[in-house]
Amino acid sequence: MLLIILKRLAATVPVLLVVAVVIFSILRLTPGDPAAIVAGDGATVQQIEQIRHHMGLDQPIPVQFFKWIGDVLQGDFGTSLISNLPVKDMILDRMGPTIAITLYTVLYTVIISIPVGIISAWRRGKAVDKVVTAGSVLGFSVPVFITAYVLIFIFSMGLGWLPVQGYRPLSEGVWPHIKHLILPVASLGTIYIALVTRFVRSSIIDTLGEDYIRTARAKGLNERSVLIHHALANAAVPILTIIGITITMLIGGVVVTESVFNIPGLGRLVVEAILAKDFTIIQALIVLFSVVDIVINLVVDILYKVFDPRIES
Amino acid sequence: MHQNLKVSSLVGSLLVAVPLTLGLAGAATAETTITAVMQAPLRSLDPVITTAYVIRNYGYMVYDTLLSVDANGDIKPQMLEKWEVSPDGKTYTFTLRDGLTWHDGKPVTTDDCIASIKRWAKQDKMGQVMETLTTSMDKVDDKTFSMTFSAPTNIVLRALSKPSSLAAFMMPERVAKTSPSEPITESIGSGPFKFVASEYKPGVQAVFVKNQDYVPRKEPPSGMAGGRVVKVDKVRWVAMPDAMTGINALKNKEIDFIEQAPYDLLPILEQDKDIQLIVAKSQGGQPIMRLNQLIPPFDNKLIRKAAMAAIDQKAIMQADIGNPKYYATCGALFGCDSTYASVAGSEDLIKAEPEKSKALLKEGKYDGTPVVIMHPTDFANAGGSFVPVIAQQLRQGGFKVDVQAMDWQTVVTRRASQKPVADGGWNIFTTYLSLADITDPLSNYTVAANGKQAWFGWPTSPEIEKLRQQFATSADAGELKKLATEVQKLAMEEVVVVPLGEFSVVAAAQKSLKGILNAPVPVFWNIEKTKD
Repeated sequence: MLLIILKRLAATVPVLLVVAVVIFSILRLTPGDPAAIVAGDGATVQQIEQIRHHMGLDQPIPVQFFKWIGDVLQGDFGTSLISNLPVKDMILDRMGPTIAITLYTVLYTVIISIPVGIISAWRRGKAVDKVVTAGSVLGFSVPVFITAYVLIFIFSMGLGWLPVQGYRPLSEGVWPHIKHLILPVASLGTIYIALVTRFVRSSIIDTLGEDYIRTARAKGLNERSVLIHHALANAAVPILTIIGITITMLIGGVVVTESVFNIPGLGRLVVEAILAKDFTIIQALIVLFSVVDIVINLVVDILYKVFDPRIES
Repeated sequence: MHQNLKVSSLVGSLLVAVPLTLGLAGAATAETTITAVMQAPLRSLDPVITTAYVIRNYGYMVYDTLLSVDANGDIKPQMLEKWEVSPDGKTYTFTLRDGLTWHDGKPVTTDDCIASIKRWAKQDKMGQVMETLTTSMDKVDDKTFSMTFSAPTNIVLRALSKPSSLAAFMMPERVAKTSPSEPITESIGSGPFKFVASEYKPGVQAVFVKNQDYVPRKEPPSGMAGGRVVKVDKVRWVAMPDAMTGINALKNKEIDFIEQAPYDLLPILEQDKDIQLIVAKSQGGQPIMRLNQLIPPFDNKLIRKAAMAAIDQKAIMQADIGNPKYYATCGALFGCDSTYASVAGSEDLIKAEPEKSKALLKEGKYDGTPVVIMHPTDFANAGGSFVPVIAQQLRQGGFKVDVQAMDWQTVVTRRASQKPVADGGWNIFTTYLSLADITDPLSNYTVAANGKQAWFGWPTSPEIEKLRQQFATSADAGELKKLATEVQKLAMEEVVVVPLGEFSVVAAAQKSLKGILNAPVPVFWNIEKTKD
């Protein structure tokens, strides 16, 4: 197993190199000049040139690339072109909210969607299944910002139970931390619960048609054992896949939720950096997202083996 | 009984006094914080390198200026005790007032001020004019310095007191010696607030605490002048990318202040009895249209005049702001209500005259090549909301128009290109300027007409440049007014820039905030936060 992990990790090197080259090239080829942004609306062409020179953006692109890649290999992601702060610190600052929101959304999704999906599959065609199916369709059809505004309207503006916006780290207390994340997680969770529930339902339905389920029932096992130990265990692989995808989507893709609830996470950081053409931050974040993606896929692959020993190494 | 009475009185007094004392102590130590959502998030900290308004506002929190302008437009001392002018009008001697210290505790000296003026003058357009006239800047002692000019002028007073980008903020000498193209990395000023670097998160929040050592002037606040008395302990600027979230947060009392509330959401706030709306006319702006005069067709004056004749300000301002309560149509380049306000030559601007435009195009031999207008779809006030209206007006005036949608940052990059349209150039872009930036022919950089050295669009008019130079060296109020009117006339005649109207900014705040000043820049001194 260790050898497999090492092999997979080694295979990430060329992937990351391709990501680095592509993102670096795209940023230089698309319009937008960080020097003009730093200089502001009233700057002249000459002032912008001076700032560009100071940023090193007037150097040939290959020179800029090799300097950047050399620094990254030494663990230095450089400084932000706009704020002049170390990129590493800025990313670490924004990581907390993203990890929290990802973790809670995944937990919330798993806790709700797996039992609901199982029940829906078990009661296929019955009233409960129809309600779950309709709820799932609604869940992923409604855009997240609509859900977010409705929840804010009810729970913040109406009932006054929860704050409209903001983020508090765990260090400021458990309740303030949780209180600020209930609505964002509930809004985001709606989509993922709908998605995962449908996935769990269809995977269980597929499994329930297998011969070994019939055998288990013929042996006299009760339905709970059949569902949990036979159906769910065998449906775990596709469910793990969708949960893995959910995590990768959450890490960098919750910009709308972060904006509506004013959560300073990585999604917002990457969008702000793109709008401000802050090359160093964009490059570092895209590489980071790629690493996270690769690691999550690796973990999911390892878990496949745990849940289904038949899967070849 | 008597003894009992005494004991019971003592116990009673204690029962009353202890909670009271505790309560008072609690009140005395309770921190007052203003949480504000500014017009843009703070992402960099050098108010001299950039003209971005949020960084200018940050500058007023942390730094101080030698001079400032009061509500009547008069120049007043701020860090200065006094200034004196030599009889020939060429030498100014400035004396710093007592009690000025940097946030690190060191005293403010003339060396700091001289270095700060030098760095600022390299970047600021009015400062650059002042620099060309400066023959020497000399330290007299730690609190006094002098500036000598080649001709009698009061440009130094006007330049050092102007409230907006770039305001002449004073910095410690070691910081001010940084190259003007290199951003400074320290936030050490001598202003009324101290910047809390440890709580700064670019694009997320900036925190300022009251500078306990700051000695404000004794005069009452007026405009940007007078005593900058801080009445709260802390000010927190938080960024809110979603406007609706800001409005909800204000209504839910999670924040105290929104610097610029969106016009379309104002009706929601108008109904809230706990919220006050502050129409800040002096913080408003002037949207403008700029024509590229280096390349055809706008290198031809007749075609520029045709574009101006096609414009209808009211339709543009309606698309930009929407509510006539918050905008005005006016062709005054230096602000509709400013000292140098004049609408000379702007008659064609207010109402569209498509037939006149077509006639001018014919006379100018317009060949029908489409004019490229950049449309910043992500920045409403800079043209996102009104470029389609301009395009339609130009079409009605006989132009062929190619509207190219892009983000604001692409506009900012592309407008610097002096190449033909086919090679990435442009014909028209729009933006807006803060009214505090356009008050006269020197601070309003859009009227500079020194060709490729001028602002994007690069107009050339030696007559305008001559008038601006005279404006720089004159000190007579009547003559200054006359010169400004001449610049206005010529700028309109040459279509150096096309002003599209004027709008006010509407700030929204909890009613518990008292003493919000009507200054040209949003400032946080004089504001009290009461409990009601």
